Parts: sequence; C-alpha cells; structure tokens
Amino acid sequence: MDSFDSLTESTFILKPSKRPNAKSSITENGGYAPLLQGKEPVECMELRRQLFEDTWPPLEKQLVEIEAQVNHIGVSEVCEFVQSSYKQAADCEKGRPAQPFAEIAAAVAFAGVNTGDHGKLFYTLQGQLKEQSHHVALLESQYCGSLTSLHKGILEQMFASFYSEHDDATKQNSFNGSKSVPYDLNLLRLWWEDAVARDTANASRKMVVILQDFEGFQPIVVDDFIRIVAGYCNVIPLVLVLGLATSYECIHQSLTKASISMLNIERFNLQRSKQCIDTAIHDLFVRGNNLLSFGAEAYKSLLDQFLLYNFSIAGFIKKLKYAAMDFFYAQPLSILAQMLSTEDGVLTVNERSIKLNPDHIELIRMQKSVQRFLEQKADKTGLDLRKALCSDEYFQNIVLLEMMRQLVAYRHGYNLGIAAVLEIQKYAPESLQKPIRTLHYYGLGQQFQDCTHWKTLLAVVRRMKTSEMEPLLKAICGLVDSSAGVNWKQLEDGENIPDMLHSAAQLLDNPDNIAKVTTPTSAEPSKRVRTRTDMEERPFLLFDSNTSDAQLQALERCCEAIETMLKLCLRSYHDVPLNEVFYYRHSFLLDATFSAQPRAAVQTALGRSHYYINCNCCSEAPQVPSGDVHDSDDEDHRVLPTMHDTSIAYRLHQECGRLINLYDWHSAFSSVIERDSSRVPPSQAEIQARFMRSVEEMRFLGFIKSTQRKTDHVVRLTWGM
Amino acid sequence: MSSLLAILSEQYPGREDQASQLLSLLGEPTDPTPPFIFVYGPSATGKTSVIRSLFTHYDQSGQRYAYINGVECFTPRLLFERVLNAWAGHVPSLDNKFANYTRCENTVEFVNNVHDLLHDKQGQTHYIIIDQAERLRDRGPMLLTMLLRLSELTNASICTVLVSNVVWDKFRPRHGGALEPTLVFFSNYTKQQILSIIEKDCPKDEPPKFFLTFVDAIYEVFHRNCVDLDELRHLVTMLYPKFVQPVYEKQANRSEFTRLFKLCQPYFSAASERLYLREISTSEWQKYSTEVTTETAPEDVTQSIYQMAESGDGLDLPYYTKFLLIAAFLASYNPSRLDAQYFSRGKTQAKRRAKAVAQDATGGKDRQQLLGPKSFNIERMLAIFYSIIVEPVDSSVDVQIQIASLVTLRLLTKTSAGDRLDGIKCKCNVSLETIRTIAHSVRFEIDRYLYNFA
Repeated sequence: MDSFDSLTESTFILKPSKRPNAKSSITENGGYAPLLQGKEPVECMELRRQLFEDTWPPLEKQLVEIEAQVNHIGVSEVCEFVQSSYKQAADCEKGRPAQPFAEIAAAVAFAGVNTGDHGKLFYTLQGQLKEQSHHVALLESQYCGSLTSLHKGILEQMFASFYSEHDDATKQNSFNGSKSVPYDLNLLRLWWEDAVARDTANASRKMVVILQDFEGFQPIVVDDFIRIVAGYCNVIPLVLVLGLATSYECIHQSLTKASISMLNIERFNLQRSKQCIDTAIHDLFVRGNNLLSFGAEAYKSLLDQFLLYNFSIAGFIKKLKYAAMDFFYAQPLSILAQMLSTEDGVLTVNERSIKLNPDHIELIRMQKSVQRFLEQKADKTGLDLRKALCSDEYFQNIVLLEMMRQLVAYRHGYNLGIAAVLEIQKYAPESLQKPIRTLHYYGLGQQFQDCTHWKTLLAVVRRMKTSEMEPLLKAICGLVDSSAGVNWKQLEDGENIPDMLHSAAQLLDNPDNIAKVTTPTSAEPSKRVRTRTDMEERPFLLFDSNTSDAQLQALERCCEAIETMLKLCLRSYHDVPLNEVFYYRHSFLLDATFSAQPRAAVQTALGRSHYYINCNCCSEAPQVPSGDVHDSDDEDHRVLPTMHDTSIAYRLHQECGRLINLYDWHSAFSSVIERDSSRVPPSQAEIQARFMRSVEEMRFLGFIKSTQRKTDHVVRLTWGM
Repeated sequence: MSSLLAILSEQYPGREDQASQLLSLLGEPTDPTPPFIFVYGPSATGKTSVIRSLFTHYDQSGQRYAYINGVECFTPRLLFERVLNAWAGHVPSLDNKFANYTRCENTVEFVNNVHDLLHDKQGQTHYIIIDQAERLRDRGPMLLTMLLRLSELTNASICTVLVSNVVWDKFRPRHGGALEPTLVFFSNYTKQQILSIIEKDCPKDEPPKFFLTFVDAIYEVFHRNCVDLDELRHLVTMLYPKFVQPVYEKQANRSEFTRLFKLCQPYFSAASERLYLREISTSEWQKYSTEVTTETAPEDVTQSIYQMAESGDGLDLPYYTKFLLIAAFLASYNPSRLDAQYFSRGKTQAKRRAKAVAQDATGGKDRQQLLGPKSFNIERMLAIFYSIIVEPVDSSVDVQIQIASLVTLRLLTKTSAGDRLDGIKCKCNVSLETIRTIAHSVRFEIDRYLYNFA
C-alpha cells in the first residue's frame, strides 16, 4: 500500500491480486454474523435473518401502497381533466360569445419540491392515462434540450402508442428505413387522422404530453413548442401537462405572454408528500403492530430529514429500511420479535421455535427497564425476585411473557390515546390542531405531564359545553369499545378506564342521576365560581350560566375520565419494559449514514488520523499515562513525526492566523520531521519536497489559498474545529 | 378576381386595401410575379388570416402554394420537405409509410428537387409562404437568401412571401445577396374596424346593438393599454356573460346600461388585469363565473377573484431550504462589505448599521433592488445561512444537496461555468414578494437585513 500515501488521491483501483475466494466470510449467511461476542447460536442468527426477510417486504409494500393511495386523488383529477378537455362544454351560461380562438388545454400539476419522488408519481399518472386509452408521452428535461429532441421524444412515444397493436412489419417499415426521421407535429396529425379513419372510436382518445419537470426545460424550447402546438390544437386533441415543482409564478417567468395566452390552464395539486408521511406514520408507528418502533431520538432524526431538508418519501423509506436492517443485524434480542409476530397476542414459550440462550437472558436482565420492572413487581405483587434473577426457566416462561404482554398492551393503549387526541382536536381551534407526525413526536418524546400540547387539549376539553362533550365522549367510548384487543389489566391502574368513561357518558345523558351516585360535596352549590383555581380549571362555569349544577358536575366527571385515560395511554415509552429493544435508538447511525459531513470527515482524517489509519505509532502516543486531564488534552494536539506529512502540515497550520508565512511553516515542518529519532534524518531537499507536496494537498483540499498581497504567504480559509 | 376580393372584404373588414394589393401582385396563375413579397405589420392585424384565406381561395387545388410556419419548421429539412410535399401534392399516409415526397437535407438537394418538380409546370407561378419568418434569420445566413432567389436558381417562376411583424430592415442579410422585397403593410385597425370585427363574435341570441354598446365600452376602457385585437376579443368573451347576467336573472333590463355597468364594475377592475395577464385562465374563469350570481356582494367578488389568481401558489419548501433561499437573496442584494455589520454578533453592530442606513437612504437610484440580483459565491451564502439560522446546524451533505436542488428548481441560477466545481457562483432568482412570504413563514424578519430596500 506504500504507493498510496497521498491523502488526496481519493480513488484507487485495487485489482485483486489472487482469484477471490469462492466463499468469503462477508457473503456467507447473507452477511450476518453471530453476535454476543460470537457466542450466539447459528439458529438465532438464521432466525434474525429470517425475521428481517419476513418483516421488511410487507412493510415496504405497505409504504408503497400508502404512497399510491395518497397520490391517487391528484392523479385521477388530472385524468378527469384530460378526459373532459376539448369538449364543447354545454353552455351553462347564457350570452357567452364564442371563443375567438382555440386555446390549448393545459394542466399545471404542482408536484412539490421533492424532485426525487416525481419519477414515480408521473409514471403513475402516465399509466393511469394509458389505461383510459389516451396516447401519452412523458418527457424529462434532461433529454429535451432542443426542439428536435423534444419532438423526437414525443413522436417516438406516441408512435409506440399509436401502432402498438399493429404487426411488427408495419412498425419496421413505417419510417422507411431512413436513419433520421424528420419529426414534426404534422406527422402526429397524420397518425391521428389515420387512426380516426380506421376507427372512429379513436377520435375520443386524447394525446397527452407530460413535461415532468417544467423548471428544467429551456424556456425558449417550451415557448416555441407551445406556439407550434397552438397551430394544431383545433385539428388534433393535444393536452399539455406541465409538472411544476415550485410555484405558478415560474410559468409566468419563463414563458412569454404570447404563448401563455395560447394556454387554457387548470391547476392541480399533486403535492401530497406531507399527507403521505402522515399516513405512513399513523399506519406504521401508531396503529401498526409492527415489530420495529422508533424511539424519540431516531424518530426525530427521521422526521427532521424529511421536514427540514427534502420532503422526500423515498429518503424516508430508505432510512426506515436501514433501521430495520440494523435492528435485525446488530441487535441480538431482535429474535424476541418473533414472539410478537402474531396479530396481537404474545406467543408462549412452547409456541416459539427457538429457545433463548443464557446469554440472551442475561442480556435481557441487564436492560434498565427490565430491572425497573422486576423491582416494581417485587414491591407490588410479591414476585419472587430471587427466582426471576436466578432461574432462567422461570424468567423465560413467566417474567418475559409478562413483560411482552405489557409491551403489547402499552402499544394498543398508545394507539387508543392518539386516536382520542385526534378526536379532541376536531373540537379545538385550527391553530391548536397538530398533524399526526407531531403528535407522535410528542407522544414519544415527553412524559404526559411535561407536554404543553396535551395540556392545551385538556383545557379545550374543560371548556366544552354539554352539547360538544356528548359527541366527543361518545366517539371516545366508541374507540374504547372497538379496540377490544386492549388488555386494560396489563396497563397500570387501567382496569376501570372503560367503566369510568361509560359511566361518565351516562351521567351526561341524565345528569340528575349524579345526586344518587355521589353525595354532594360542596356546601354551597348555588355559588358557582368559588376560587381562583375554579376559574382556571373550569372556565365553563363563567359563561354557561343556564347549565344546572348537576350538569356541571357531570361535565367535570367527563373531563376527569378523559384526562385519566389520556394520562394512562400516553405514558412515555421509557416506562415500558424492554423498550430498549423494541424502540430503535440508533439515531446517530442514521445521521452518519444518510447525512454525511464531508468537511468534518476531512478534518478528522487530518486532525485525528489514527482513527482512520489505525496505526500504533500515532495512536499509542496519546495513551501514554499522564498526570492530569490538562496534560492529556495537550497530548492530543501534539504533532508527532510519525504522522502523515499532510497531517503534520494541517496541525501546524491550525496554530496560525489568517496569513501563513510559508518559510515559518516550512521550518516548523522540518523541525517536526527531524525530531524522529528512530530514523536517519532525511535530507533538506527531501523535507522540502515533502513539505511542498503537503502544502499542495492542503490547497487542493481547500484549507489554504495563495494570496496576491504577500507572495510568500498563503491565506488560511477554514476556522473552528 | 373581384369575387375573391369581395369574399375577403366581407370576411376581414378593414383589410380591403391589403387584399386588393396582394391580389394585384399575384395576378393570373401564369402572370409574372415579383419574386419576393414581404408582408409585415404589428401583431393581430390579420396578416396570417388574410394570407391564408386568400391563398386557399386563389389556388383551389392547393398545389401551387406551400404554407410554412417559421417556428414549426425548426430545421431546414422540415421546411424543404414540406414545400416539396405541398407542390407535389404529396400526402404522407400509412400507404406510403408516412414518408415525405423525397428526402431533402440541404439547399443543393432542395434546389435540384424544385428544379425537377417544376420543370414541366413552366408558366405557373408557385408560392412559398413563410409565416413568422423572423425565425429564419437564425437558421444560417444563406437560407433566407436562397429562398428569396429560388426562382433565379431554379429557372422556374417562384414567388416567396414572407409574413412577419418585424420590418425588412432587420432582415436584410449582411452579405447583401438578398433581393429587395415588394412591401405590403398591414396597419393597425381603427376603432371602427375593431368594433365591426368584434361584432361578428356576437352570440346568436343576443341583440347586436346591445352587444356593440358593450364592446364600445370595453374598447374605451382598454384601448389605451391594449391595442391587440385578440386580447380585446378575449376580454369581451370573458366579461360579456357577466355583463348580461343581471338581465337573465331579472335584476335589470337591457335599456339600463349604467346600472348594468355598475353591477359589472368589480369584474372590470379586479379581473381585467388578472385575466389579461392570464393569471386566471379561461376555464378557471368560466368555472368560477357560473358560481357567482348578482346577489354576491362586490367585495366578495373582488376577494374571490384575487384568491383565484393565487390558489395553489404557495411555494412550499423544507425548513432549512427556506433559510438557504433567504440567505441567497440576501447575498444577491446586499453589498458584501456590509455583511460584517449585518451578520456579526458584535456589540458595535446596532450603532454602525444606523449610520450606514442614514448615509445611503438618499442614494436610491443605483440600489441593488433596481439593478437586479448580483452573483455571489456559494461560500458567502453558506456563511450567511449559518449566521441567520437560529439553531446550530451541522454542515452535512444535505445542505449541499439542497443547494443543488435549488439550482434545478431555477430558484438559484448558476452563473459560473457548468464544469467548474471550485468557487461556484449563483444568483437568486426569486422576487421580493416571494421571499417575504417565505421569510414570514419561518418568522424571519428579512426587512431588517436588507440594505437600501424600499
């Protein structure tokens, strides 16, 4: 490897010296390796692989379906427009003069700025239009730099569509064997007339030209194309669809007034990536019983990438897949996932095919949440702590099962809680309504009592009148009843929640019963607003003066019931046993993989090169036991002669100001090199050559540049780190 | 000949002079004609329509003239083959495998083909009519000259008719090989002519006199800004239904012009500009106008028209991308020497800025706002980006990707050479209104950072 000691020669071609082994260790087992310091049984490893292969494809399918479903609305709108274009609309308005000139039917489809996803979207649109037996040409700007190539693209796609049912002989001959065909729209007109002459039903088929990324096209090309089409639009039914990523303004910016006035534009919105992500999050993370959930950190990283940077669904799916792969690849406890794989029950030990290793069980016991769970159980139910910790059999059969049940119950409860929140939001003012992606973030990230949004929503509930409370409570009761799978007993103190809600609903129906149910606690029922707390917590007392006391009490009971329920359901996942396993936490992995930081990487490579090179000489040095912290910090910055030349030059330049004197730099460099006692000191010429090369590499990497003002100086360009 | 003139004058009021001039130039099929007729005049003065109609009537067989659109025939080959197709009466169809009359790629082939084709048709004049002929100027220096001298080159009787809205002086090739044309000028229509043309648009069941009054009013309102006949017709088509709507809804009768105009007022004021600029397209307008009745309050009408022009207009960008765009805008419009004042977090900031603004408040004429965006280094934009963003952001590859995607979306324009990776320069291609909306959506006070803006 000696020939590659330059850091900036970034690409190396390493030809295999020998024939590669038929089976290298990397490709074995699909790349899976036994975990737990290699002590993991092969069956478990196989199981993890199997689980991944069982889990991911359906998930991916579901995501793709969600995307298709969400896009469907916009796409079908466009299709409808194409279908109805160029029809003589029945004059619904009297006294309309005839159109003085024909306009081209054009649809502007706003597709959002996530250009990466557009290919799929427009492909769907094309497919839909073709299904309605229109002739479609889908064009991308990169292949349409000029009018010639634009026409070529349109006519080639149209030809395939017009003469697809014809035999191959026609196809081959129809261009007369000439190499370059003069493509123009006249040819298209002839094809169309020919098709209509063959079968009059063809007359209703439109020709659709989709310009997928309007922004990318040369404005002058599109402008000319529109002028040309304008000459044909009363002869052939040609519809334009302009895919727009930014805004309508863009059309006015790039096209001339003359050609805009030839278009009859209708606007459509295909931009639904946020909606898509909301549905995906709802279906996968909140409602789904999927094995892999995201912890707060990882979820934030997932969402940030989407909201802050690109709105890209493809990117979202990629990250999700990476997380799933990482989970089954690197987490030995991911085999527990098979216990959850049925609909909502938990498989018992006997139903499982593979038994857990003592190592596995030890690892489970080591999880913080498990320890907490055991302690709590021991306190409350008198669980035999000793037995749980010592007997693997007992732990596996009883305790683990119990924990898994709790986990499942929590999931169901959480789903219910979010559903209830969504119900409540319907009654909240618009500014308080949050999309599900944010709600889920709150639900993951914070304890119930810390989150202001939940508080605001509860305040909304408290302000409700009877007329509003009734449908809300009914809806929530409906939710509770319909999700019969929720095992309330598994939730802490959850047993009486359904009863509480139902009784509250009953009370609301006939509030007079309240007297029978509870003894009146307040001594002065006539006085309504009594304390400051009352005013804050029950503001309805102030404005709703014709509500009876009994009704008010009923309302209060309702509020309490709802609050108790939410409090229980929207607990943080941190309280649930085994959350470390099932809530994906490796946000740093996602960040490192999907948002690379090139500058930081270069600076680390130069500043801490031993991380990359993994050599003894440089990494040993800082580990020399040193007296105090201060000293070791110094060690880290020490410039050693064994380091790479560029690395030395980089470290030296960090100590300089804006302008670096090359001579000083050189002398510092040579003094470092000469310090190496182990080798024969190199000649001055060699040092100078090495220095020159390092400086050149620094320049190439963008750390310095030469300056006009002082010829023997260079300017430093980067700061910090 | 005179019957043809009568037809044309009937069809195109106000174009009698031009039609008779053209007809006298053409004469009988075997008469000698000038080799080159140049028809010019402002847009929407009936050049194309008159010429097309004249030739369809003049040559019923359609084999002696070739009508070519200068925009459509974007290569010489397309032009040549179309001319030959037309003169030979050749129609590509499935039977001849959609092939043209012959393959003809360059001028030599074209001249030879024309020579062969017209050899036995001696005596009859053939015509090439090229509409939007100004486009031919960009297709090589010799093409135009060759077309003009075609009759000399081929020894046949050929007349080239160029139709354009550019004057001949802008056509004349530098090398001086072109013939001087016989000019036919299409002047702008007079008011009377415009009225009599639009009168033909009158719907069948409407009294023409009533319609004409409306057209007259439209003309009076708009003619100062818009002399284009097509635009006036468009406006009439769009606005007339609104004008008569009260009549059909029994709110007014046809004699109450003043009242009708008053009812139509909101449409005139609010819609005209947007209709004229096509911010509202024909079908959107029609769809909308059927929903509104006379009972709707004028304010609501105005409001909804504005809304219609803006619907779906929101530029929705990811959060950081918005900041990137704001940074680009600032880099484009602020002088770089003031960056330290605006973006450094030092103490002297407030004092110095006040001074700078006071100095330049008067020097308004050459401010950047009026000059348009300047190009800036990407590094400068990034520096501004990291300074205006509230929370710390890692300089990850995502930011770079966003810059690239802003360039593809044409929100930034790259001004340095495409293959240069070092020191990329860009311009911000976004209007002040747009950037204000974007800044507002991320709660960034952009006005505080803009230097010398009004």
